[in-house]
Amino acid sequence: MAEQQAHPGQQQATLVAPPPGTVVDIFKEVLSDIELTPYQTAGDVAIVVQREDLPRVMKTAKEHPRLALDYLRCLSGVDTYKELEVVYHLYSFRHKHSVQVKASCSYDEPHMPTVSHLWQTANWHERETKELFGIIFDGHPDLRPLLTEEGLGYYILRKSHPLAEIEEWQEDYLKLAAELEAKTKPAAAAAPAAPSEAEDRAAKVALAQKKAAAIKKARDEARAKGLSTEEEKAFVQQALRAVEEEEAKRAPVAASAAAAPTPTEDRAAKVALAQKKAAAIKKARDEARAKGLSMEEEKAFVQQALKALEAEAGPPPAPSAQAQAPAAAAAPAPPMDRAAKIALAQKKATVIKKARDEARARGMSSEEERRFVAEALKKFAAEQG
Amino acid sequence: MIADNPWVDALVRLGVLAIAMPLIPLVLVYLERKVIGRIQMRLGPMRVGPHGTLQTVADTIKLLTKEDLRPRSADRWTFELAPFVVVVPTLVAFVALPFTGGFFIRNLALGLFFIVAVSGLSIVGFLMAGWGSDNKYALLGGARAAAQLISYEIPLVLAVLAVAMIGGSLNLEELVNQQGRVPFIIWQPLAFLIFTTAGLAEVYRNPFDIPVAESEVVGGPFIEYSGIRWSMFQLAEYATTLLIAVLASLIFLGGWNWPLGNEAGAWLQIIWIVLKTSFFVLFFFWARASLPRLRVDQLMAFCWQVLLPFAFLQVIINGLVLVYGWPDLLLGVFSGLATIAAAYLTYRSARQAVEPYSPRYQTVRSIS
Amino acid sequence: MATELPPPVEHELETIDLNINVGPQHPATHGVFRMILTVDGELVVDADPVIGYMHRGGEKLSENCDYRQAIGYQDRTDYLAQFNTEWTYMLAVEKVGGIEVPERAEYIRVILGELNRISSHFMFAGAFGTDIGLFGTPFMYSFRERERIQDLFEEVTGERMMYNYFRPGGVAWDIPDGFKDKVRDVLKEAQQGIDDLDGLMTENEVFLARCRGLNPVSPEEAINWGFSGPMLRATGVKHDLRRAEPYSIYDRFDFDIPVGTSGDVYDRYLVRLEEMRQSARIVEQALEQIPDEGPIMAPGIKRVLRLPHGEVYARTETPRGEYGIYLISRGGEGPYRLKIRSPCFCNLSALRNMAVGNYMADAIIILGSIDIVLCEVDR
Repeated sequence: MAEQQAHPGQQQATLVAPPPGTVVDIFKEVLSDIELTPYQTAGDVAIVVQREDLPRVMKTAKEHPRLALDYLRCLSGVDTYKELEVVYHLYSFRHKHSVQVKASCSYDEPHMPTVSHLWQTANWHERETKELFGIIFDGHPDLRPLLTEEGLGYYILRKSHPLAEIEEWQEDYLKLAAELEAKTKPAAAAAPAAPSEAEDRAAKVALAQKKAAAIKKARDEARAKGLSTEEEKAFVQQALRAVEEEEAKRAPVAASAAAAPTPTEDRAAKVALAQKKAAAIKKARDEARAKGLSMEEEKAFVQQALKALEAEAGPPPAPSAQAQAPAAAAAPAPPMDRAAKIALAQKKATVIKKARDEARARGMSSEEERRFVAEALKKFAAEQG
Repeated sequence: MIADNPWVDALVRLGVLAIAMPLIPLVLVYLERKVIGRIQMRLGPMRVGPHGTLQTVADTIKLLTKEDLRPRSADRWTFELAPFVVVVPTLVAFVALPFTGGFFIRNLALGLFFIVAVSGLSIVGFLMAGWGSDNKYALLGGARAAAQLISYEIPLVLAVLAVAMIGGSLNLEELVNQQGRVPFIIWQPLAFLIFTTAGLAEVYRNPFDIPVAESEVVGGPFIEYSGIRWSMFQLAEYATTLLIAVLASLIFLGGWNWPLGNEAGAWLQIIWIVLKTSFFVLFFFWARASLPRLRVDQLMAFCWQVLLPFAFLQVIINGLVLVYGWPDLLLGVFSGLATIAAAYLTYRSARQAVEPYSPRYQTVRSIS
Repeated sequence: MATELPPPVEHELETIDLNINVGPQHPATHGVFRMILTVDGELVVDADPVIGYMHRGGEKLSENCDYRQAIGYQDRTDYLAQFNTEWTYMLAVEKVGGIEVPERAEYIRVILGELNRISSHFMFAGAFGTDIGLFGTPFMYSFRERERIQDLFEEVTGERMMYNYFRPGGVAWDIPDGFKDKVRDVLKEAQQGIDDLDGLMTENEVFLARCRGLNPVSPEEAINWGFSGPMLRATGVKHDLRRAEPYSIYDRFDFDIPVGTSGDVYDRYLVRLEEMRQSARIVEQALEQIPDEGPIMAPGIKRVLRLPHGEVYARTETPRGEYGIYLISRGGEGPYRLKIRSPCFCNLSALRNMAVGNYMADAIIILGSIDIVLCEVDR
């Protein structure tokens, strides 16, 4: 099997052929016309078959006297990132040999033939696999969910279903991706079929995981270097940008996903700027108080410090790698003079403050509050021209 | 006689009964928990009061202060009257039960008949509880209870009838007086065994507690009751236990009469009665701790196919002896033989119905 | 007092089958388990088990952890035989990683695993006796012995349950001094407890009348339904993973395997009772053979273990049957896929076949004889 360096955790090892003299030989003899791919696991021998051959293989496995695999030990589903797999563990009481049989199906068409007519124990196993992975077993008498409630709406053990750690990230991405998809593909929005979304989700999940890993690494590095909080944030942002650029280079289709982090990035940049300003203001205020200035003089002093800061920071950092930037500041604004910039910034600050207070009075969650504030800012920017 | 006026006398006696009756479960429940605890290698209640003697008092207070629940869809009158219908007949049966020569409420000429007849009324209460609770478990439990209690009435009545035949009277005091020399257990061992077994079933205790152990332990017809009403069912259960025990010691073991005779002091007689009753009560507790419960069909089969024929056999033996005027010794001999035959046949059928049980598993060394 | 069923009665009356919910809250169902029985009078016409009340997503959670963190989830599946389930998981990890466990650790594992089997079967005897109707006497007898064994476990691991003691490559820390003598004392008491239970239940006529001949299962049926453990051995199939596919050091011990004949409820009880005695035998031999000192952990095992790519289906014989772990590793710090094959799940899936046609009270007894642990069924 070829190795694909697609996402972390997706690599599959090269498969080792089983030694001679195992049950695989009997399989090959008895089912000589079927394509079998055997390999050796750390325990039993495994055989990969095609889904179309599966009913015949299973029937032969159970009924052929030389195989006599009359005991189905375990039936599990596996979500490799490429497809859904079902693994059958069989054992023979007569010959005392055991074997694994694997068959796979795609996300788009998750159907598998049932074996519950051969081994009754497969009845509940297949029910469980159906509800956890979404694999539909054709011919099964009763595919009600076993362990979870009916109508759950998602398949828990698929890799696209969030693990606990990165859930927040994932929710954002998934929602944005769904919105974008709905905008760009209105026709395909009908079927809520999990399989077709799963691939996108898997990609998004992988991306999210990569970003999380990069952030972690960058943060650790920054801490090891002993940077201050703002510098650490900038460092992390840099690392994130590097990851995005890499992604954009590799898969231009993923640009939509890359566009998604823009709000977050913008926000992060703005937050950094605001924090810098706050620090400057604080410093200036302390200085002024130490000097014993009056209220007016203190205000003027603080504004001067702010101006100095603006001069230092230069123009606000531009968001990177925007192929299709959503409705942000589309047209490049004419170069404003400093005072106008400061006035604008102050007006924005009042708008933000008002929006924030309103959101808090309404009792929104922090996510909604952020969105509300962003909207207010957008409105303000539109008003400005 | 406590007072000259028969009405006042009756009232006083009834008053004594009314006070003593609810105290009986207190003592019996405590005893049961202690005895069963000891059989199970543990101590039983130990904390509330010295050696746990006040445990049942605490339990009673708890039960009395519990909320009186009634399911909304329960049939109101049936549901609420059922505990009374179960308890009152048992208490009424105590009216005719003499504890010693002078220690009774009314010495009815038909005493034995009265007791058996009245205590049979409780069955209606079970049906009422089962139906009125609007609960499938209760319904099943009530149906099972009715079936069991009605079925086991018959061997009980036949055993009592056998004793009445021998004693020649239904008056309990007279029956006891007739046992001055030899208690009836010597003449009627088969009736004794049948009475004890049927009595155990009448009180729905192990191994016959399938109505109350509906799907094991959920409580059968009592499932929806709480607080006082439930404790009334418990009162009925333990009062009936005491009734059966006292009755058995009166008609089989010679009551207060044997072996001391009627002239012994009242206190001595009471002590004797208490001892004999405790023998039965302890036997009931012992059976509860050691025997699993029979399934309903096994229960019914046991009653109709085992107890009833032997009860008839005992009655027939009695009849033959009485009609032909054979000496009492023959009565004892025949009854003894019948008892041995009954015990053997029961034992054999119990073993046979389930093939020889000698270890039916093998231990193997290797798998091949 | 035969346990054979009478022929079904033809009613002239029109009767309706009653739907009884042996609900999730029920004293007799050994956990949160729901069974929807359709009864015709007293005969069970249909039994539909509903599980999933204890589903906590252990498999998904294990994918999120690394290999050491996932040990805790194995504790919480079969909470009566935790050392055995941990052991299976360790086997899987060690097979994929090619890790060899040192001798002393193997012996410790065997001693603790077999003691756990004894205590689990004690629990079965107690609960089963209560189902049958003994008013708590077998429960009291068996819990005395269980408490002693749990005291031992507490000495070794610090916990009465949820031991989290096995590690990939060995065990977490060494057993305390004087442990061997304590185990010997406990074994003596346990033998006495087994004899007590034996005397109380095995030849009890009412017990026999209830259980003998109830729900016999043929070997072919049992294999088809996926039975394992005492349920399978009671039907006559001579299959014990400790002998058929020996793992760890079980080939060094001399023990017998009880096998029943008819697969009915009584045989299952007998098989489990005898297994307790055999486990005591194994523990005694292990106590003699255990090396007095030695490493208890394979060398070079890091805390955050990274296994090479690979997959394995590791299985051991737990008190309930064949507990299997299908582990797929893709080189990460934790499992890529961890599928738990729980014996109670497979045994319970046949409940419908077993309960239909019996009386309602017998359905409860059959459920009790499967000896289910709901946390394992639902994972």
